[in-house]
Amino acid sequence: MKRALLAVVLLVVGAAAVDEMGDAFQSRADHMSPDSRSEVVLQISADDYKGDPAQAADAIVAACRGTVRNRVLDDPGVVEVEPGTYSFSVQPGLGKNNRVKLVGCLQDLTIDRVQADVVSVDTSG
Amino acid sequence: MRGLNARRVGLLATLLTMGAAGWYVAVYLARWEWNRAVVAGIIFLAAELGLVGVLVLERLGKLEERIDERTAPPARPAEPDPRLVAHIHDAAPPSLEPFAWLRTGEATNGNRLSVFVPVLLGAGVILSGVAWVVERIARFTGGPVLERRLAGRLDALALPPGGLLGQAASARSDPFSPSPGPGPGPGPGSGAGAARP
Repeated sequence: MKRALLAVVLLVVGAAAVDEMGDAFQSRADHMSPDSRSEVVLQISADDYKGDPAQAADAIVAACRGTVRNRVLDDPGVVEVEPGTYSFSVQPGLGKNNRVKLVGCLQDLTIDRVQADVVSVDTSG
Repeated sequence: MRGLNARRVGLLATLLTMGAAGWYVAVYLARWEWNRAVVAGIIFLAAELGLVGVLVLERLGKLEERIDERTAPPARPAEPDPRLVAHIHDAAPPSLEPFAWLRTGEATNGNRLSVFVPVLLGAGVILSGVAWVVERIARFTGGPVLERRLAGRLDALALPPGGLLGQAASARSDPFSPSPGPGPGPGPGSGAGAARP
């Protein structure tokens, strides 16, 4: 009886874990308004990068813009809001799944010697 | 005790590393941080490989110990207690001496070979008599039996009844007698030689 109960518990826990992992690892289309836009603020650390921090920010945004279908707005582009802190905007706005994908790419070790920390993602519209 | 603790600590650290690395693989995958997930996966595999290596080497070490125990020569016994050896030697029964009666001694008052030689000669005479009796019995009983057995074996070489040509051939004239020819042959005194003067 105990073994059967343990087997049932393990089965339920395993199924719940697989379901959670499936939800966590999957990506689905986000339904956002075409006029919406999101502003991403990120902090760049590129002390050992062969170039200035602005070039590092441009490089990492260019490397990650392909991970989502949202268009990076060329106006104003990647602008420095503070020393070492940059922002850019995408349109339409980032939904839940696209936000995870873009932030993950930016904070990942995408470009050698460039570390980006996403400070905020503000979606409007 | 210290080695056991170090081993346990090492295994625990390896297991913790594996658990943390595996957890972070899942976390980084959920965050879509592929490079970090790959690095965490490599750490997980390295820890797993180390753990498996430790366990396998441990098991191999135990097998080697077993093999050494089985193949090692038996331990040499320690030097026995001299008093025990002396006691065993004293308690041992007297050894048997074959033909002890042949030994010379004071009780025999000289050489006992004079007793041995007549006994040996008497035994020889008795054995010779027994052998003569056995030979005579074998001659009277074995001869006819062996002759009949030999005759039975030679039956295979005997001619069939009536010879090789059968009864009809035996009824004809002797095949080695001169056969009657068509006319008188060249006998002595006949022919050209006889016409010569």
